[in-house]
Amino acid sequence: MELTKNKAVLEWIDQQIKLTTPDQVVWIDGTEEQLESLREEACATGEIYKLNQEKLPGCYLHRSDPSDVARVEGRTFICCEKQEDAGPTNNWMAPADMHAMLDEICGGAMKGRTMYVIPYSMGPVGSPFAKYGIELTDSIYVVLNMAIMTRVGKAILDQLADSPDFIKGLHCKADLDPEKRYIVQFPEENAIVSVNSGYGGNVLQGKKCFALRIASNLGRQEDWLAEHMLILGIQNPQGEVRYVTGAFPSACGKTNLAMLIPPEGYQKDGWKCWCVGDDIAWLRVGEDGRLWAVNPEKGFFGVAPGTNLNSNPNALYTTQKGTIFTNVALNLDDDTVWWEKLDKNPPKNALDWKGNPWSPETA
Amino acid sequence: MPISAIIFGGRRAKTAPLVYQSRDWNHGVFVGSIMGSEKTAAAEGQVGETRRDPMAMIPFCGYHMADYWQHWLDMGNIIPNQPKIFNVNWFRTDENGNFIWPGFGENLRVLEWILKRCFDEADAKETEIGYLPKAEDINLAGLDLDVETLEGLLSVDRDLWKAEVEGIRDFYQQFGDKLPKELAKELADLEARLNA
Repeated sequence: MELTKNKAVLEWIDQQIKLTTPDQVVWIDGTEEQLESLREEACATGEIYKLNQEKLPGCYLHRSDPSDVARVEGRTFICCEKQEDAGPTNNWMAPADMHAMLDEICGGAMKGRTMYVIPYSMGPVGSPFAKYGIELTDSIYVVLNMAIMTRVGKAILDQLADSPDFIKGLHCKADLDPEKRYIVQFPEENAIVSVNSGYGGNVLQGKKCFALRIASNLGRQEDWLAEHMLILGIQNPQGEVRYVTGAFPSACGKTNLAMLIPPEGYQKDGWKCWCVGDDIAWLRVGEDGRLWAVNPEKGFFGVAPGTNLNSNPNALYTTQKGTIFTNVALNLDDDTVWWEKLDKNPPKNALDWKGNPWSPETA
Repeated sequence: MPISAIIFGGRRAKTAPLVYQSRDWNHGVFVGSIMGSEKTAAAEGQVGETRRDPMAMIPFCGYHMADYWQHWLDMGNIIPNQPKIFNVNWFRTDENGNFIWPGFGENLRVLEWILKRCFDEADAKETEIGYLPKAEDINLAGLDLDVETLEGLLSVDRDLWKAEVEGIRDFYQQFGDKLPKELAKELADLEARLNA
């Protein structure tokens, strides 16, 4: 079933199989066929719920464990050899100690489960800017999200060929135990391990783990920058196209800026704006001596509360198809979703984000 | 995509103006390193405690942040045709704690000035903190906001900025002598200009 003959890949996966002891191993080939069959399987077990396919084609709902709803900065580590290289803003543990602890948590953690092998690319496959990774996971939800957020499948392995230059990622949901939840980057090993979480930036390793934490190290070595930035394209009435990048802490309007819609007067004058990326930019010096930006992601990962036709119509329209909604309310009357401030029309008959009955009166 | 401008942002009730441009690359790295957001919503003119998040990378920098700043400074030396660096702040509030600038799509008016600066099509006035637009250079056509209000958004309060210098100094402490000397110099220069 292996989709490659790359020795480095096979040896590493073999080690992880011996450690986590899954019942079976499935390689993600990237075909729509395989993804669709995984969606059906996840629906059958209740991992995801198929929404109203007329109103929300290709959309699904997932609820995570209530203790597992955000990135956990306090349990995220940069495990370089020397503590002084992590600096005062990072959590650090000696790599050997961390590996020992993680091996214990991951030991046998996939027993009774399937290990999915996700070859993925940050950046367009084959681009000189692209970097490749493999994430091993026991979660179909992770497979489906990675297929949205990154380019996945056999094409990545074909591109990688015999090279050992890939980022090694292991993700074990284990027991979703918050006390044993760790998100760990080993920059000198080009490795990522996340355990006891099933959520977002903790487990979709391409995004924060790879494209920022590991990649910032690569950038330092290779003379480029991996940044927490949007990329926005702007065309003025003269037809000149320019691009800007922007870094904003959370709650400072980054997504709205990335998806900016010009005011009416500006639209009439011929201004156009488009979103190249809303979260991460990789910046390199081009042959022309300018700084060039690439969005290494393929999809968008947004925050639902507060997103509505007034605050961010572009984001809202994007969620009308092919979207996985996590921890939002389910409108039981028509199998659509709802969240705080979506509109002034909360569903009368709903399940809340924990799956409990909800209505505006009881809210 | 070739980048014309790098924009740093934050959420400050009173301090940072709507937009300003750094003097050069190193100053731009300094501006990125001091990015901040106020923890509590400002109310009745009070300013909340500032949480600093340089380049919005605090949770995401995969190595020592001071070394990361040094890398940014070093990059400046190998980009022949540098983008210009700016800071924006959509979140200044009035005495009642309401946002003064409408934000959302109207932010394009600020991006318009930014791009003009990148292509030498607009002027700026030099201030202690960097280059600010002249109020008349921000297009307000179609916006229910008067020039006086805009001038307010573009004002630099010396006393607030002197306090800001103290805040930055405090924040830089944790990096000890790994703090790149270029950033220490930018801070010292800023302080000198504010005290001149």
